[in-house]
Amino acid sequence: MKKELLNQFLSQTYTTFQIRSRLFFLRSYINSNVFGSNQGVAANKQDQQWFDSLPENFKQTLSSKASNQLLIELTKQTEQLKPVVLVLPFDLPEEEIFKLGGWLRQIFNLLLVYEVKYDPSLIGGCALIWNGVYHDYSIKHKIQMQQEQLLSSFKGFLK
Amino acid sequence: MDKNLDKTEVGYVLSIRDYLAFLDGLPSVKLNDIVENDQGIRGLINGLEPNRVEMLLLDEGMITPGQMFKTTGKKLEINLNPALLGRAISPLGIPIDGKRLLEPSQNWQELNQEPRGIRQRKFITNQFITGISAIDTLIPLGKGQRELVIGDSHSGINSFLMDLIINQKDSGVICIYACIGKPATFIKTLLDTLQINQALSYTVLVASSSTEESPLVFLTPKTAFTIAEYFQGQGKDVLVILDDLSIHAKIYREISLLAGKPPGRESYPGDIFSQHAHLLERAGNFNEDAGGGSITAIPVIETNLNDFTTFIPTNIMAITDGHLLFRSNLYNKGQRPAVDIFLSVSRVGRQTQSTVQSLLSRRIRQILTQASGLETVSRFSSELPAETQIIIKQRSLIEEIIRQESLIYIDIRTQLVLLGLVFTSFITNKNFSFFKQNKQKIINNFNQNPKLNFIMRAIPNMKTDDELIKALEEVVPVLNQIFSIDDKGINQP
Repeated sequence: MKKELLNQFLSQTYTTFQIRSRLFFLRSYINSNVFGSNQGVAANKQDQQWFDSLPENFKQTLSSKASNQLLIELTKQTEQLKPVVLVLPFDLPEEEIFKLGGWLRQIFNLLLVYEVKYDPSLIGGCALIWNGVYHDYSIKHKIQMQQEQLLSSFKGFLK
Repeated sequence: MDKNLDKTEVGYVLSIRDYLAFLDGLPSVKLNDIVENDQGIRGLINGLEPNRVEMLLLDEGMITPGQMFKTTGKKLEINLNPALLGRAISPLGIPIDGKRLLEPSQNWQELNQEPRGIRQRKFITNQFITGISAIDTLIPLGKGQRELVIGDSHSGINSFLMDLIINQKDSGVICIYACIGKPATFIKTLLDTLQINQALSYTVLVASSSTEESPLVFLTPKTAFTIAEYFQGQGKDVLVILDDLSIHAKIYREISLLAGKPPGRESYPGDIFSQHAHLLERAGNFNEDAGGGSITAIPVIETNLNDFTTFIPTNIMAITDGHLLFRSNLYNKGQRPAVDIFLSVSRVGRQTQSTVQSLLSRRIRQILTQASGLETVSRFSSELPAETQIIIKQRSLIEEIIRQESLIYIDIRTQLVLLGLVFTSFITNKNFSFFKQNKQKIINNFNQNPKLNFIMRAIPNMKTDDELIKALEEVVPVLNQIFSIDDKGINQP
């Protein structure tokens, strides 16, 4: 049951930022619809689209008295997820985030979430961190590895 | 970092408590590894838990949750070279004396070294000469011994430690003074005192002030021992003073409580004994396999109101090979050094003394013990037997002879001669004030007067204290002539 809920929650949710945003949305939805809060539902366009895509049984659970418990359970489970951290030298557009997330899940057949960090000093390529290990595939790292060779070939031009 | 596979291990900051941070990730990091973030701020791995790693921050800087730390593949190390002599450095090896930076050598050594095993050690046979009569004769130290110095503040401990270092001039002993969490003014005064007394050339000062972060204060004694092991490995004798370990214990308690470790007695962590034992075991007398040389450790504990029965002092007493107990009431009475001879112990010092020294020391202790027992009687009785009067007189003379002001060095032979005189007829019609006024004159005569200095040369060949006393008795007429004593005596009490 818990795994099914998590799978439903993580449909079209690929990054840790999206997870936090969705959880915030669910909290405000529950406060508004179940506990009668006057503050309304805080939603951006993506979160609303995501919510509309959820199955009915999930929405029904959200409207019941067990909704608070559901939210706590979802929060716990999402905290246990270990995200893959992608370090990129450029800003990733929203569509690409979805494409990349879907591709990762397809390739690894796992309920993967990822996180994007921005580091322009990488110049190009990317670095990724998984299970505490940092894999550097950036141009900056390649240049550093071959620094001496590059410098000696540049010096040849100076003469 | 494994360059072939282009990967290194990283961890993210989960939470921060002052100088202690918890990280996730870092799957194969080990204790005492160094990790570093993008800003160059280093951390020392201090604990490993199933889901997180405990890190002590070594550098100043802003750390926020979510920051990434990478492994460096290094342990905490310090650069070692002879240029450390005469310098004051921080526990990380950075000079703090305002002079130029140290030229790095190829020799880097980890701070957390395992103490050497039994096979690399040898028996303690050589005496550590302090130049202080009370210590060298009555509570002798050996090279490689660990001797605790314990007492209140204002009991003369600091001047004693200074004398220990200054009296090592020309002896070839390297001195390392670890100032653990002391005020900056104390460190400055210490440095100036060593410089003025020309003791800095063979001394290294490793200092962390009271305003520094706790991890640095915690590392100070480890740095001191690492430097000591470097010089000891070259066959030298090294003196390490740890001033003081009670501050070190408090800092370790603070770090452990912050890390959430369960508190034990007096809120100290359960492994505080192990920490100090691990540290002090690095001292000793080593054989040629380990480079020869020796490390003599003098840990210091400052007590409150002379209470040495609390947790940390008793721990250190159990670890060390003896203790010197300093008392503020003895200091106030003018006794220098203010060591309580009856309550002080040296467990391995006796075997390093010569036979003459050892026998004379025993004789003196007997006198002091007897006199102590007779003291009460002497206050109430108007007429005392002649033997009792002699013992009490000898006690007062011994106390005057072993009283030694700061910055005065008395070599072993002179100490033996002065103390041997107490058992001769030279003391007839003389009291302690005679010795107080004429001690230096007696020393000068025994060193320079051809009628007396032959005794100094003969001492190494003597077998017993009786031989020494007999030789001194034979020159009493010469001494009396020098001091022009008439039958009625001079310098009446």
